[in-house]
Amino acid sequence: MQRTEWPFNLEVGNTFFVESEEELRGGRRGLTLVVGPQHPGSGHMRLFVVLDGDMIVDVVPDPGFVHRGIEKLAENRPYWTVLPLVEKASIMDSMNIMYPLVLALEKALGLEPPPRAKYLRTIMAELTRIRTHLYDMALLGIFLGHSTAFMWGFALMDLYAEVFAKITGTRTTIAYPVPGGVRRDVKPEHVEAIRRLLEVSRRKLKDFKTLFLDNPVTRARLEGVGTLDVKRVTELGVVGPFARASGVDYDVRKIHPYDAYSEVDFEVVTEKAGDAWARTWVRWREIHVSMSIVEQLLKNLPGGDVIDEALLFKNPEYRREGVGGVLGVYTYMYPEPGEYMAVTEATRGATLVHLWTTGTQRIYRMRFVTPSWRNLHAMVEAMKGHRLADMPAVYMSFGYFPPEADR
Amino acid sequence: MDLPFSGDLIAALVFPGVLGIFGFLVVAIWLERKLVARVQWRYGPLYVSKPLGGLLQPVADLLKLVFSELVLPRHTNRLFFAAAPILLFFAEGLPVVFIAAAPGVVMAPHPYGLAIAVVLVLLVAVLVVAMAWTEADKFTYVGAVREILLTAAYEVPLLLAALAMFILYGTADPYGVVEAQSNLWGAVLNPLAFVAYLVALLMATTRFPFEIPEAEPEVVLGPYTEYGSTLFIYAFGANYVKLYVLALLGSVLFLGGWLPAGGLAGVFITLVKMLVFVLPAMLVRAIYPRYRIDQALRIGWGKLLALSVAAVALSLVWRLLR
Amino acid sequence: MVAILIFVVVFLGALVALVVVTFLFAPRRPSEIKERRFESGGPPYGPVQRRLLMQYFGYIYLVTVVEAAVGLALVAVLTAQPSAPMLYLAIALLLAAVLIVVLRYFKVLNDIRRWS
Repeated sequence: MQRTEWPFNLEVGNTFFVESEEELRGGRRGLTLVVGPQHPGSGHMRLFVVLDGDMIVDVVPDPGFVHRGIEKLAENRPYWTVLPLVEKASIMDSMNIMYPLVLALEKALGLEPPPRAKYLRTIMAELTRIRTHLYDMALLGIFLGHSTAFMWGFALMDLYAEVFAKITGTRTTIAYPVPGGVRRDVKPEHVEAIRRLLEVSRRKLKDFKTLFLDNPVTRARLEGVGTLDVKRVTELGVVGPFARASGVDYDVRKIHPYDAYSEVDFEVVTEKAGDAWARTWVRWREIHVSMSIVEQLLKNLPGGDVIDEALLFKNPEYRREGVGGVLGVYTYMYPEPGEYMAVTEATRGATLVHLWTTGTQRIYRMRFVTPSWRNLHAMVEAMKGHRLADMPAVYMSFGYFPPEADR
Repeated sequence: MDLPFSGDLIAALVFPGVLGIFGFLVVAIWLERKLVARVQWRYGPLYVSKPLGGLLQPVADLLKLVFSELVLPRHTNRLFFAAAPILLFFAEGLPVVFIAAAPGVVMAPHPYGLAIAVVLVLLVAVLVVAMAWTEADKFTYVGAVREILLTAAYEVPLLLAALAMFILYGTADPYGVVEAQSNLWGAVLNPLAFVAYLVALLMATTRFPFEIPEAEPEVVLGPYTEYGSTLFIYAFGANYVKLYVLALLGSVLFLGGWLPAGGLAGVFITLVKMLVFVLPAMLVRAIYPRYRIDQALRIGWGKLLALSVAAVALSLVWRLLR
Repeated sequence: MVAILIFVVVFLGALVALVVVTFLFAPRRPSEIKERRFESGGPPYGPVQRRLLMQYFGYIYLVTVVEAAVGLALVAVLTAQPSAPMLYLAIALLLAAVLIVVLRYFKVLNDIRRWS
């Protein structure tokens, strides 16, 4: 095998990670541990971890193993087929990750969803947020070796999947919102199902907290690990709960409220410490905030249509017919030429979609910025200077999700 | 002697000997999976032998492993690579030679039998490190170093807990030890030593809060990373054998061994008493994540050392009062 | 004595026999990739044995001393006369000394910066 093939150009002077013992600062010797892709603690990525004894001296991430070119693919297809494509970036967070695209397309098409649709979208966004936080907690659990947290987290997620299946017809990638409304209306029994879901999760989450978050070993593993202060966090461009864990009081839902967020009362959860525990705790509190948002929205859920009147010009029956009919209508609609941008708060942070349209039904260019990508650098920085055993703890305290980062 | 065969032959072949070790491997893996599944809203193994509650699942797994390809990596010393796990598994089982499961059911009755068993248990860590070194892999290397450090954390408390009991009984002969407990169990006389022994057992068998050498998200499988097939059974099962030996030792040292029975009934009583050590070791997997190695060292040389020193002090007080 | 021999022969024999069974009956399709060192799915890269985890060297140093002392105490207890108050006093003093040393240097032991 050529020495230049893998992992990078290994010619002298061309490496970007430590190759020999003498290269470490102060003559310290290092061991380069290749973590991933076939490694239980790496996810779909590779980390080059340079160890000095047990201490991590340097970490070089090598993402891109699940890059699917969503931005490029989006250029070649009609805009209504881009929605389920974008969703696959982060399947657990499916509603939130496609939210900005829907909002941007609405601006381009001049559509305005009716109030009931806005409420329903926000409800679903918060439910997927809870599910994604649970997913990240479960993975944090298994990364720390707590298999019960993993099993309980996934069992709880399954309850959410069941409710999503009832409402939208799919369990994970729900593709619920469409430009100008939502795919399906909820029935009273669905509202009841959501209420019951929240009640059950509250009860089970109490056990989850007792066994996992209040566990002295968990606390010992997370407290004081991977600390980033406010200044560092802002420098590194961290978004979402991970920035809020260091005291950055920024939440798109509060600063630029979209859909029904302006009509609910909720606090932006922040912590001061900025360590792995704070990042976990912020997300834990956000689960409860999301639950209260869903409850408020359910209480004031307005009646009426779930599809914009403008979409009913072909056939007024489409309002009841659901997805097939409405998607057919889009074939008659053309986005106005121009640039459109939307930012929303996905579970792991702010997500941005920037559309360039030229008047055809194909999008000229779509810029899609996902939160995991923004957090990757900070995650790597937070690992440095800690022990090897802190690597998985810091990794999952950032809820890093490679498919979301790679797009 | 009221046994059909000579006692030492039973000890060698059935319990606590060969059959006991392999049987424990199967039952312990099954029990662990079942118990943990209970906590985690699951059923655990059920596919193989549903009427037995999936008891044959580990057997099926082991058979599958026996008939899977034996890969001996080229970069290693192949002879040592194959021999290391066999020796490790064997060495983990060796201390049972000196531990009695019932009156007469012991391979080598020896006045210092239990002390020799303790020392043999402590010696095995060397083989784990040798095995990891033979594999010559970055992950096994880190795992080996962690194994050394973890050994440094539990060795002294384990020895002190044993020392406390030997001071209390004044002997290390399995019969003498059990006889000394005819009125009160050692665990009652010296609960501190019992707790110290239990925690040291969790560390020695790398059970959960201390499952550090084979921490998956960091070092894959630690010292066993390179192994497959039958050799993996040995490398991986060695910890279960150690648990078996330490549980047997603990039931003799702390729980009065085969008392109040003798003969064959004594064997079964010893088996039941072993559960006192085995069940917590299985259940901690469902309760605790793992510590870091520095935290484990701090516990071993902090609280656990203090506890075991207090246990020895308690034994000294008992001894002087008597 | 015979029992020990039987145990060793049967136990070791069973272990080796299983490996022989694998060697004889398990399928074998050797390939270069299978025989490589595990490197998370990539080709082997860089030397393996490097610097030991020196940050915790203090503990290793401590264990070599304390373990020997405790082992000595074990031997003394087991070989002593049934009641030897002087021996017990010696053990108490020894353990007190160990505790004092560990307590005195506990901070240093845990301080990885001093050991790296």
